[in-house]
Amino acid sequence: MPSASQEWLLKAALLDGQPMLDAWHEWRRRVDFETEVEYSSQRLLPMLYHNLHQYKITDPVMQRMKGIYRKAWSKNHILFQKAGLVLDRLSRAGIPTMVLKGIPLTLKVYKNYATRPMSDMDVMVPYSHAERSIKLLLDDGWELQRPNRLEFFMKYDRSVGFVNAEDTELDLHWHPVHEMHEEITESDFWDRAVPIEVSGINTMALCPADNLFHTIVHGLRYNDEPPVRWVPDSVLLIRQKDNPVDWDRLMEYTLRFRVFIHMSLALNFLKETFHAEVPQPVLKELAAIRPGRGDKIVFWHAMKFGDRIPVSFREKMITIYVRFIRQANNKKFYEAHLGLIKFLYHLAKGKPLKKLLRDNISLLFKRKQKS
Amino acid sequence: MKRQLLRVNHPNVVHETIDGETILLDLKSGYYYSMDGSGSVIWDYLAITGDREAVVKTMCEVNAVQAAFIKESINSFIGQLLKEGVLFEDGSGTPTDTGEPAYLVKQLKAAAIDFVAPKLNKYADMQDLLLLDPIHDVDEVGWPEPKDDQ
Repeated sequence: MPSASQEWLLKAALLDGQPMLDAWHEWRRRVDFETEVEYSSQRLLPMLYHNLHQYKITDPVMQRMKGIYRKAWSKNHILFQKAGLVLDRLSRAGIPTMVLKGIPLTLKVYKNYATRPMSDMDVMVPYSHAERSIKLLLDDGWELQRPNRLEFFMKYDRSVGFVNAEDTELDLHWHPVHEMHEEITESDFWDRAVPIEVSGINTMALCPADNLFHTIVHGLRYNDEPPVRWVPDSVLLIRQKDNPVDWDRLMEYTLRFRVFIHMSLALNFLKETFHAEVPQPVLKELAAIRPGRGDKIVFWHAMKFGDRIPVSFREKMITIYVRFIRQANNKKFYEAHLGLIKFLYHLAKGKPLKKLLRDNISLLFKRKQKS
Repeated sequence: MKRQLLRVNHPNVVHETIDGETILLDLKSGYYYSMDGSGSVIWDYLAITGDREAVVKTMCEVNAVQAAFIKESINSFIGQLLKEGVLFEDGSGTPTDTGEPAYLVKQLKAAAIDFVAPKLNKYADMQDLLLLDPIHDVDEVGWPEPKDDQ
């Protein structure tokens, strides 16, 4: 969840009138612009500038904020152009594509190329086309970030990361979320997808409800840099009057993918702090759900460790276990463990034994040193 | 009737005007441009109507005393935009059916009163510019203007 100063920054970026001005002054009072604007907050500054400039605010940092806006605008345009090339390549090979996260949010929700800075692109293809898509991207000079994990990712994960010679990063997804991906069918998320054009190429984007679902489930996870971007993404998605969120659809996926703790926490926070118009029956329904043991473990891990690289042997073991539970959580708690050995086998497969031992022993030693 | 109009070199050239400043990016060449004051106002007008003659006529009518200077400055500025390839001349063009938006004419007239010749700022090496920390590595104007010691 956002820190106190991030909350003021978010309010200054998202609210209007006096509440916005109060939040802006409070943020300026609390945070030293030269030394205390960490990465997550920096990524909110283009949106903050866009909101502030309409109020003719005079502040010594406004020009630099405008510069941050210009830089985000330039960087995003360059990334969009590169995304267009990838989408074109896949489309010409007959592969259906969908864009996730920053690209569709920029075009459909923020409607501004600067206010939602991006560092990489996320493209999704149906699982049945994933292998061919990977091959095409490799042929085009993209390189897998973790080539020896490809088989494992294809079996148990949702995406693979690529990087090219220009250092551009691309995440190729076949599922949008980690949760229970075994249960996701080819038509899930695609059945309500909406058309979108990226740099002249026709592709698809998640419908508003699925986009909100994805934004919250993906965003509400621990990170060394506190994740805050899910807040403006969600607030703006909920505010859209021309493309309203279908709350029944959101609840359907929330229940099916067993992410009700995430959803309840996020939607209550958005309603209380940013007056997001979340229907009361949705919050009531979420409050009435009794999560199981697996759900609590998955949520606890997301909030405590998230996607960070484990720093101790214990954390690594917990993370491996939760990654397994997360995708098998559709079954009863004990039944869900039946595939654990197979999961561990695939996890270790392809990794040289020497490296496997060295990595784990060094983590174990680190842990001992700490304790 | 077909007229010689100016067109933005889409899709290679993208542009946005914010707070009196227009920023342009040529995605093909990687060049970044900016302009403010009369330059931004003229750009906005041309991007919508493409009609350079109307720009000259409107601004010269408001400031007849400086008409010759205004005409020369506008033509020189447009010449630069053409040379950079961010605009191109379209001989088969027809003006927009909807006519010129009133706010654009108002902006042109306001800029003509105390006319300052438009200036196009050009920045090359986009890869280097993107490496600049927009809080600490820039001067008081902000990115992409680096600090003197950068």
